[in-house]
Amino acid sequence: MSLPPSELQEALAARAGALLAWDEAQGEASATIAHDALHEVCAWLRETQGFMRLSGIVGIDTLTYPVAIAGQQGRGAPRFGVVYHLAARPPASMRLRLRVFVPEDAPLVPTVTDLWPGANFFEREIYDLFGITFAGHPDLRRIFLAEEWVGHPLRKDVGIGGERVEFTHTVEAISRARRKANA
Amino acid sequence: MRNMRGTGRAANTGQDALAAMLEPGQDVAPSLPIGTMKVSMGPQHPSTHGVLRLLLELDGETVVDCQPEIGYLHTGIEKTAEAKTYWQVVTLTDRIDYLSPLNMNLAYSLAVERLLEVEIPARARVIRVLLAELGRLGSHLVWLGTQAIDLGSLSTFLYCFRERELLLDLFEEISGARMMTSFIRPGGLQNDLTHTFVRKCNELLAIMPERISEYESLLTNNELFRERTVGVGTIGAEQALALGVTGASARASGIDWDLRRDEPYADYEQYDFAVPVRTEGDVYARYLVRIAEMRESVKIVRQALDRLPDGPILTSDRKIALPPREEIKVSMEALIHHFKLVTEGYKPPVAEVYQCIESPRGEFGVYILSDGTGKPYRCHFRAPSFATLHALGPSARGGLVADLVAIIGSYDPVMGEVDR
Repeated sequence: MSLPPSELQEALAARAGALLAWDEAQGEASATIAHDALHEVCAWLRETQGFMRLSGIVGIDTLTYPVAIAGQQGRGAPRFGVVYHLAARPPASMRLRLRVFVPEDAPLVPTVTDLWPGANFFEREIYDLFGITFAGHPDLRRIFLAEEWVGHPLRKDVGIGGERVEFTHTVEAISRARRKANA
Repeated sequence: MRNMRGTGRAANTGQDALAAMLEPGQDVAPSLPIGTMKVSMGPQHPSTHGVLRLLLELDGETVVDCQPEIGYLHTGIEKTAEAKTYWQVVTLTDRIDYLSPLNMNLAYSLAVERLLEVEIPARARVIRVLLAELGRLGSHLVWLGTQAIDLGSLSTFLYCFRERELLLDLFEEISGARMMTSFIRPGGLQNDLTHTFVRKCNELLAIMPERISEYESLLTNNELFRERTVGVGTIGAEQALALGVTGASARASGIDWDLRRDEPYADYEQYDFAVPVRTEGDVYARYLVRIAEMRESVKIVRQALDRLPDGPILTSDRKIALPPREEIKVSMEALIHHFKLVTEGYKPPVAEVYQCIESPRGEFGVYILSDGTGKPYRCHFRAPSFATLHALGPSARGGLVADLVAIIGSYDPVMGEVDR
């Protein structure tokens, strides 16, 4: 059902402006996709190439990453990345990784919840921990942290061990203290 | 009886009092609010298997909507991992799915080994499969016990935990810890199997098939159990696939997908085992698939024990594996390697990997982005329960609220892995 990696690469490259880079390191095929073409590429992969399972979505923050990730050249490259792991059903059992990169000042990625409803929680997780927004997501709220939490802890500029423990059970008091601290 | 009669009298008195307050001809019923009711189930509900909160919308006893609220066990394992060296992260992986820590260790170790491109000895590979299957068995025993207790069968729970105790004894025998084993590590294993382990494991294998039949005799044809599970919480193949349901829960909906067979890791292709699949997609089908999986696990452990080759259990690459204790006392090089490994760890090349295994709950994936230093730049754990929990709403909708505990149990979520 699905094309072998080399033909998949050609098919993706044939879509104008969609494919930014292609690599096959560690035996895993990865495609870096322009973020405005992500949704249509995902729809095509799902409908025609049999990538029925979205294994997961990972957020990355390249702030202190020492080298350019495929398709991202030099300084001023977009800071945040979203990585999709797709899988095709056996017997093909193929896997494909998609990456999109978005800049810090406009961290906006189209949602894929309409294609794979299971993306819902993963996108909420990335919104919660990285502050990347998914356009069109039906219910984009924090998923792990409290609603009034300020900041996105998995970003690289958030230090480790810096969270103050609030010895109060009043949600309002915590929010007030946080707002004050962030003002 | 006296009490009940007493209550009846009290109710009558109440109604009389209400009637006295009403105007003649006025009826009390139309003014009562009719609509759905919002109920918060958990996070301390005993059948939510940890701290899971469900926001329910009920129409009488029917579930109209069910939204899982999670995060109560969020400990920031992924952030913590960024501050640890690669081999320190192993101890964190134990705490992701705390019911099958060995499988978590295995997934992480395989990912790091692919980054390092290191081969591990044959004996270690066989022991890994053996332990992963024992881990699956132990995890499924907890699932079966809690699923049964949720549905009122207390004795099944006691029997399951009786056998789980034997499994925990085995883990304690080799690693010193009953649950947080950290036994499978990048490069191989912490230690070799002991004679006692092999003997006890053989004893366990001898009794296990019979014990599984014992559990089945309590539930499989039990009219009460079937009444609560057949046709309850049904989810179709298409929907399960789209929602990212994996593992036994997906196989109970007819999705014939097992990573041990389809994307083999740790030499699973050399073992002979069946992948049980059902098509009904209800709680009962998930029960049958997991029971059948337990029997397959016993078969795999038996094969692994029979083929156990001799040899080392750790790679000989001293840049990755700690040197043996006795060598440190006599060899300067060994001491330097030990010092370097403990202080800064090994440094994999700049790369990214995604390694997934078939954990007891489904596809457990480890994504590591390495920046060439001794600590992972980004480490993400794709937890099967996290994705499966999202299917709870669709399968609970339209059912009875009393069936919800059966449905939660049948998906076998572990909150440690959901929240990480």
